[in-house]
Amino acid sequence: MFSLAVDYFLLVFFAACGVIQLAAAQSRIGGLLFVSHVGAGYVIGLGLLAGAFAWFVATGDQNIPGDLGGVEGAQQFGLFFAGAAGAVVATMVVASLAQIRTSGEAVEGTGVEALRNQTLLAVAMVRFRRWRGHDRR
Amino acid sequence: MIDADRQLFEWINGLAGESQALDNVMTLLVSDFFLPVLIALAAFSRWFVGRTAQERLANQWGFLYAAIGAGMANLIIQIFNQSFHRPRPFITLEDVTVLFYRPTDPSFPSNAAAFGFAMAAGVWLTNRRWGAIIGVGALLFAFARIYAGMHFPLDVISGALLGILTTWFFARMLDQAKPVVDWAFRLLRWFHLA
Repeated sequence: MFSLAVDYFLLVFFAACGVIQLAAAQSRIGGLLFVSHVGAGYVIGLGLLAGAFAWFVATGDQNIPGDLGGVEGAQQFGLFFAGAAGAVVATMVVASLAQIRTSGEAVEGTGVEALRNQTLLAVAMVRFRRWRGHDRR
Repeated sequence: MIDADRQLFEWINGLAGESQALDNVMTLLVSDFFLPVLIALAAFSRWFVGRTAQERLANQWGFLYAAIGAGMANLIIQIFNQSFHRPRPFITLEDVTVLFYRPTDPSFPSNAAAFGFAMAAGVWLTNRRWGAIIGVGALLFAFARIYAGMHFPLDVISGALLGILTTWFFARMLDQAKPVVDWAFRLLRWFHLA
């Protein structure tokens, strides 16, 4: 559909979104799920993973030599990390917006552990309120 | 040794064309975008998996080992191929069944095998089960490369060994640089990315 590099980036991006949903569902990290239901997390994850590959295959034969416009090893490596990093950011944004009405508990732990019960947006709001409260005192 | 390598290649590649169903499976497995992406995604998934923060941190170290091992193995092959060029089987032998496009880069060592086994070795260092699962994917990818006429068995074996040893070496280097890596993890944790 697009150039092969863009198609490959999109494949990795959507497949990585699916993989993050599966990992979050397995590890019960509710703040990374698009829907606050573990079973739905598995379904969405598998759907995104399978859908990304199905779409990529449907765009035609993408196996092209590097010297004829194909994506070579080093370029694949870079595009994979760009797609995966983009998927992490997109997951956090989408999960935060999708669960915006979900009231979480107080922030516990750090890093991904803090997203077990709350989305990134909720954690950021708690942090911001704490910082403002501390600032006023 | 070269003769044995050629004979083994001819036996494996001789299976191509015998069964259309098997050829279709191998054409999928040899693709640049199927198993390599699945292998990398399987390793990437470890970043978020863990029942506890400690288990997740160990898995994240595994992904780090895998990514750096695969990257460095690729770099070593690029440098090595500046001075050594073994032609592909379909160039040196007659009657090779080719199920894929004909790459122009050197055959030895196999970059595909180095990538797959480097990823498997990196994950294996922190999680045996997932390391073995990724290893099976790497093995299938390596076998498909021979079946499809892309590599001699020796290319694949040397690529696999290079991937495993490179990952092991750079994992030890990363362990030596643990304070720096820990600092990077703390920074990522502040942004809830690790």
